[in-house]
Amino acid sequence: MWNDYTKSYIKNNRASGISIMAASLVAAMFLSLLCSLAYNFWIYEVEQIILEEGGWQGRIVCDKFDAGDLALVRQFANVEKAVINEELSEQGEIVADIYFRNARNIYRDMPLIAEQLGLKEDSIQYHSLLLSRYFIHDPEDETPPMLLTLYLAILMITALSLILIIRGSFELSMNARIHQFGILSSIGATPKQVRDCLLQEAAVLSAAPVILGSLSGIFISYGLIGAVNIFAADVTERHEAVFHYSPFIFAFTVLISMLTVLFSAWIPARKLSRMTPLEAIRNTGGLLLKKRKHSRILSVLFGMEGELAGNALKAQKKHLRISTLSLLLSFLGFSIMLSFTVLADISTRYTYFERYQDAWDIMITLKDTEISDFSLTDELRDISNVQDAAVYQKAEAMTFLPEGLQSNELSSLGGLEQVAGTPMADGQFQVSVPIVILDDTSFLNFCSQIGIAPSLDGAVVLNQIWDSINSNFRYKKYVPFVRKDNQATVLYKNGNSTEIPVLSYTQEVPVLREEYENYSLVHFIPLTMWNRTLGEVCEAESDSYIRILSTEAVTASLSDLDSLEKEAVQLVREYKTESENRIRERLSNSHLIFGMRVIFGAFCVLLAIIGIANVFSNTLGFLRQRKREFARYMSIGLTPQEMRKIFCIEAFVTAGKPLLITFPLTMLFVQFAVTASYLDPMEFWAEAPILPVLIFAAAIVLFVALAYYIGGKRLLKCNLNETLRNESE
Amino acid sequence: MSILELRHIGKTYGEKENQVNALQDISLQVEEGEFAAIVGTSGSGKSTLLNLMGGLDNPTKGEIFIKNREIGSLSRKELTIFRRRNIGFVFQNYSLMPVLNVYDNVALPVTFDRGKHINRKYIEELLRELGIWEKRRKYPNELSGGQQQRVAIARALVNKPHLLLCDEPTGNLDSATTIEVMGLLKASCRKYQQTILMVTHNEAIAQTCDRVIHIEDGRIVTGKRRFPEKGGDEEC
Repeated sequence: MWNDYTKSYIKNNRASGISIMAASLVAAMFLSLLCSLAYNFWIYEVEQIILEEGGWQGRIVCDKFDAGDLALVRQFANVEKAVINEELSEQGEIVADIYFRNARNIYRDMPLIAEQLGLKEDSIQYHSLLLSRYFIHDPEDETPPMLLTLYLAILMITALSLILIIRGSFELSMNARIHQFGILSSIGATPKQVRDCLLQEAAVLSAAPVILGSLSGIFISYGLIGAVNIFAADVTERHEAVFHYSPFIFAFTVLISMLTVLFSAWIPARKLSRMTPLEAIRNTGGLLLKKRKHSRILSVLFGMEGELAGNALKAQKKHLRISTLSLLLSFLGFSIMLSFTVLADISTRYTYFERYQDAWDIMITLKDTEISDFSLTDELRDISNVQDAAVYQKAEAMTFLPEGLQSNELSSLGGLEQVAGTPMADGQFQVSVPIVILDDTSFLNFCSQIGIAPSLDGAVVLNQIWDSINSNFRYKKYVPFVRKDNQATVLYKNGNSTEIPVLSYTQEVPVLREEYENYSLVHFIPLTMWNRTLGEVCEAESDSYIRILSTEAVTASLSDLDSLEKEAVQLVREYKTESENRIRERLSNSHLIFGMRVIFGAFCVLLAIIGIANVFSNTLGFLRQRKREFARYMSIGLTPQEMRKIFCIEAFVTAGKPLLITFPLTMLFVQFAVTASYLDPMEFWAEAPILPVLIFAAAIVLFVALAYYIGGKRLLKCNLNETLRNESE
Repeated sequence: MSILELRHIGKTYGEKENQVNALQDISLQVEEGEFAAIVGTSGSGKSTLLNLMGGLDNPTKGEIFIKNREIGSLSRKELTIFRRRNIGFVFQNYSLMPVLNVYDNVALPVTFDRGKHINRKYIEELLRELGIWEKRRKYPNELSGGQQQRVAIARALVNKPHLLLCDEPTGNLDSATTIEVMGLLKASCRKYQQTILMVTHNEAIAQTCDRVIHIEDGRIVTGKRRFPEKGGDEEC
């Protein structure tokens, strides 16, 4: 019989059944999508870290470590693997990587291992970045990295809001039935029987949509990861994301969704248990305003109908909350995302593509190659269509400057203290010296470019710093850093020092795709000089770079640069390289921005769908209760036209609210972002994404209006006289 | 032997300045097999009294004994089970389950108690007796008011309750159907030795009962009435 009752109820109340099924489907789908994406993001992060830094968890770095020590480490119960890292081990320093069975105990076990080996605590290292991805933090660290925890919190909040959607949809349908359960209770159904009936119904309605939703969530996330891989295919130094899934995630999604469904079905049962059967019978599930409220704006704008619509909206406020919020978030997210990408696009164009337009056509990174070991510079220059090729490597040293050496301009701006911090005991300031080692030909060309006699016997110093007081970072003005008194600089590194003659001070830079630090003394030195002096005391970065300019320069097409790139890479094939070309990079950047827009836009659209689905479920779900409300209006003389007007006003407010809130907030965001990035507002407005934002807004308005149109049409089609006569039911 | 006894029952709704005393100090005994009418004007408290008797609502003061059990001392579950085994309800607006057909509506209270073990013969007898056997597959919205009320009566009788509480059972019916329904109630009262308490504001209908209890402003009125009566009266 209970089965019959549940079946009959579901059969006879298709609208409410469909709304519950749709809510369960949509929410389970999002939950599954979210969990699957979060899981894949996490796996990708871990993979990236392992690729870049290795999968070791603990490490021992010491000067003596033999096979016996290794065997001792392996004897530890929690140690899964211990190996000597041949790559990092060198003369006098041995590095041993340790992998644990249960990494959670690493902060307890590593000190014990060190103790057993007779090593000090500073010989052990933890791969804290990797460990933090498994939520393993040093217990003694008072401020562990909480980024992942933050992500998890965001995930939980989003999951919670999805759960609330299912709950809201159930609550709506169940509240309408308190009256029926009151009757059942009066004829002898115990609270447990009512609860069983509700749970049974909830399970029947939601089981299939929850499973289907969870499965579609998995498929969508699979598709999304595929899309990300396509959009980011040209991004250098990125490893491809491979879709991962765990049955635990599926179990978790289904379990959470089903629990929510069952918990939501519990709500009316709980409400019933607090009511006498009589109160339940009298409960008509109608919309009631708890407090006397006036909708001033609506009543001024639309008269009495405005006031009635306003009160109805206030009475439904709790149920409309999710739709208002998701519509608002989707529209706000969409407009801010579009504005942001437009701004980022303009900014990248200025700071990167346009600034370096003439500085490079092809860049080749020579992985793990010293510039002195590269011997094909001349061959590169001989390639047809190559106007110029420069090979360079970067290094880092420091120098000490006495106060007297600062330029007059710098003194007037606040002096060395402003840019180099507090002086040393002897009154000198420590300043970092980035070094750019240029191949000899390029260095000689640079000498000619700045108008000095070409020579390989010294360095050219870039004598400029950004005047951050009188200019902003977008339109930088520079002032000289030091007086041109010194004919040599003493450079320090690793406790050694060497003196380099200064050929000239300049405010010009060689044609390279490099951005230099704001407050440093960049030294350009020729390779010969490096090999003779500095190379002895300081090591350069591991990679070297080749910058090639094409003869066609700005007029070059993608295929020109592609073939030039291919030819150059072919020439240097004996080295491990990575290459990029200016036009392709610009294309892949636009591709990436487009991909980001598509994925984020799709997310906003999905959010909007949740909101609109909620509006539909509310409008149609409240139909039964609102029949009475409208029957009463009709009985006091409201015409169908006026009732339609009430619906129109409600639709206007429901759809209008997110739009009205979003427009000023987006304006504020744009204003703030434009000011912060020192862009000309007109440049933004010339490219502002007005059309897509308007289309998105129009879609929201259209669908909300459709929901109210369908609801209103159904309601006005009902026999309202009949409803009024049955008012006592 | 009395089947129902009310001792100093009071019922108050609302709080502070909104407080309304719906019933005040009501004491009453109803004997087994009696067919009593509770009569009063609209708002006099007669339906409230009936609801309290059936355990659908809780009194603010006093005690209610049904078959010598004080129903206020029962837990919610015990009260529900006690109600379904001993009390049948007939409401003015029928209160049928719109999604179940006539037969299922009538069988519903039995399934609460006995699951699938329904005495189908008894239900058939009941439906035939009430003249709705032919309509057993129809849904409530396919029936007339009189037919719906018969279904409601059948549902109230299906568990063979000792006490039948009817709240304006003829309130929504035309006069011919009213006579029919009253006849059915009386016949049932005799056949199944039931006690019936019926709320009505119709004095004429009340006069067809064994006993009439008048209620006015939440109190049972004894002695002289404040307004002229059509039929006879009995002092309570």
